[in-house]
Amino acid sequence: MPFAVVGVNHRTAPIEVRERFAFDTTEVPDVLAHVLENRGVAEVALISTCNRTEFYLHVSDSEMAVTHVLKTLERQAGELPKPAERYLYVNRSKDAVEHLYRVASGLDSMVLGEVQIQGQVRDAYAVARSLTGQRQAVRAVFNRLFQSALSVGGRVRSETRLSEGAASVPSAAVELARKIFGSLRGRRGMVIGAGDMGELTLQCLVDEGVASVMVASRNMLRAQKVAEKYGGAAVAFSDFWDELPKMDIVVTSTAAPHAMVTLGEFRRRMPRKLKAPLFVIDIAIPRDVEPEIGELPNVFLYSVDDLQQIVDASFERRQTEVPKAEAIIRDEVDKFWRWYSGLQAVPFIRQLRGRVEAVRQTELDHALSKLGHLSESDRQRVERLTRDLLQKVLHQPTARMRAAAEDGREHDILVAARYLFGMEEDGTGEEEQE
Amino acid sequence: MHVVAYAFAAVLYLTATARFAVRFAKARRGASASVAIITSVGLLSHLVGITLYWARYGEPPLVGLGPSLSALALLVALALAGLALTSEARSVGFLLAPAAALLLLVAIVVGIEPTGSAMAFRGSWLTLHISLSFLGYASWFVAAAAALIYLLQFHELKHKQLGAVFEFFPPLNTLDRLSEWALVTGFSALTLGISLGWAWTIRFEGGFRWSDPKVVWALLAWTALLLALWARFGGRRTSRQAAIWNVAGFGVISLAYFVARLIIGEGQFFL
Repeated sequence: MPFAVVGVNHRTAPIEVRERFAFDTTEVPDVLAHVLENRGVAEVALISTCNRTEFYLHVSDSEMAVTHVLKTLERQAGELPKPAERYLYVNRSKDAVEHLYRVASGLDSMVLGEVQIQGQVRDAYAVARSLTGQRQAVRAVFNRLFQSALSVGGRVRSETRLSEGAASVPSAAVELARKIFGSLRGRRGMVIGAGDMGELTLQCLVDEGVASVMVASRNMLRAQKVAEKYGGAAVAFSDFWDELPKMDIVVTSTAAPHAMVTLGEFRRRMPRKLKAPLFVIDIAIPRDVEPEIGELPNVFLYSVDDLQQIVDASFERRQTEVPKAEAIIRDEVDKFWRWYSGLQAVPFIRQLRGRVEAVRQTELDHALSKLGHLSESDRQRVERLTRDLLQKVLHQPTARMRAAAEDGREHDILVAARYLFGMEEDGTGEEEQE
Repeated sequence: MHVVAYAFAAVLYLTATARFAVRFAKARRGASASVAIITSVGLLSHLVGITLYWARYGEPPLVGLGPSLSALALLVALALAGLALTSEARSVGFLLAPAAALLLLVAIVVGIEPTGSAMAFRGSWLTLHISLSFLGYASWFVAAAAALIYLLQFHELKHKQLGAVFEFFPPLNTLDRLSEWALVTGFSALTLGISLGWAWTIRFEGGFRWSDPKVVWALLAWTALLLALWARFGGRRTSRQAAIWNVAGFGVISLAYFVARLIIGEGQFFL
């Protein structure tokens, strides 16, 4: 069982437990180095996000390596409500590879198909790869494994609709805004009532390029704090009507028990006919904006229920894409596994070539010592002839050995080959794979 | 030989139409990039057809129904290929690809051959006059197509019925800008085209032949285009209202063309 994944994620532990297992980005290199100290571990990478902490291991001794990592995780978490093993899981062999592919594709994410995980896997791989020398955490096998995982993630996203559509209320708001305005770069936005959801929506809009941000709240201090965070300006709650006509996007999320933006006031304060679209996102309960405002020309009014419907529809669509994504993953796991199995033949092929080369060299030296009359170019020609001859003779058997290993028949073929070439006494240590 | 090249182009425009339709039916996000290759090859084949025609008959395919339609189809295909190269507005080709295919197929069916009639109005005057006028009509068609999609997209967003139109077509702002740009281009080209025709008739024939149905129709089209432009830039109309004017104007003028052709017959029309 050359691979293992040991970790905790959103399925096995609640947030307050997950955060105990999490590693800070700055800690990761030392943690990887610590895991590598165990001689059962050949390669290691760590994915530590808010939803998962997972060690990926390429091992020579699975039990020793996994136990070492479990202890590392338990030490990191400290005292927990339940024993650590209740939250932790271990996947081995092909399952570990499949797990990584599922993670990179967003199939194992809390929000199905989310795209950020691809970047997080890439970062984890980059950090592990940055370790060199004695602390080298990534070699040939993990290079291949993580590169293929990133490519599988890309394939799933391009060949299925797993990552399409909004995954949350704020992202649904952003998607709608993009369908109205195209790029949000340079658009003006205002949030009325700076609650958590309002701030989250504002953050999504700012991430998309909304440049000029105003925050209106009854709590001026809170408004200033939020405005400062997003490079905007705070405005007194009583003055938000003065700013409203200048806005493209308005998010309302106050805790008021009645509508703050009434049709009458809207008609009085806003231009009679809006020339540019106004996108109003009302995520307050009860609603802040009278629904009749949505019927006015060029006003696009969406309540939290409207946005939730978009999210639900998108989730349903994502769910239908899961079988397609899983088929891609199965296909890619098989490909990786064939490549990895093919490596089993490499040490023997190396030994065989080494032995044959030694024989060639000895016989060539012997022959050339008796052919002293040959010119230098003729001697080189003879040497090239012997080399080419052996290359051609060895090509077919070595290619077939690799193919047999990829098909999982490496044991029988290698036993036969060792017997035929008289190499039974030569071991094939796994350490020679790289 | 030129007909083979035209037919191949038409097949590719139809293929692009099918690609657009499949993506739309599946409510996929935008059109696939493959339509850019398909329409570019189609356009190339179309250009080969025109070159062969020109080489064979010694004049560009601008006079007579078949040749005129093939030239108009080329301009629509040019817009289609141009938009297909952008990821933002590629899916507008959903309306342009079938139009290019249809125009070219009708041209092939009626025959892409010169009329053989001796015309007083020839040479570069004629080439420029017709080319600019066709550019005007083709641009107006692009503007109307974008405006029509704008209205559909607006309806889905306003009524929160987010279906295939929402997923497949570009944002409102993109459609609005495309429609505006195409409208301005169309108006400028048609104004220049009509002005050239006018200048020629004044210089060589002493004045406009107001009884000529194609003159009347061209002036009607120009007026409708001017109104669509006014709806966009004049007054305080919203983009939606401008889109309605644009689509309605184009619809009325297209209808007028077909009615006029039915009543008057082919002889008096260039298209």
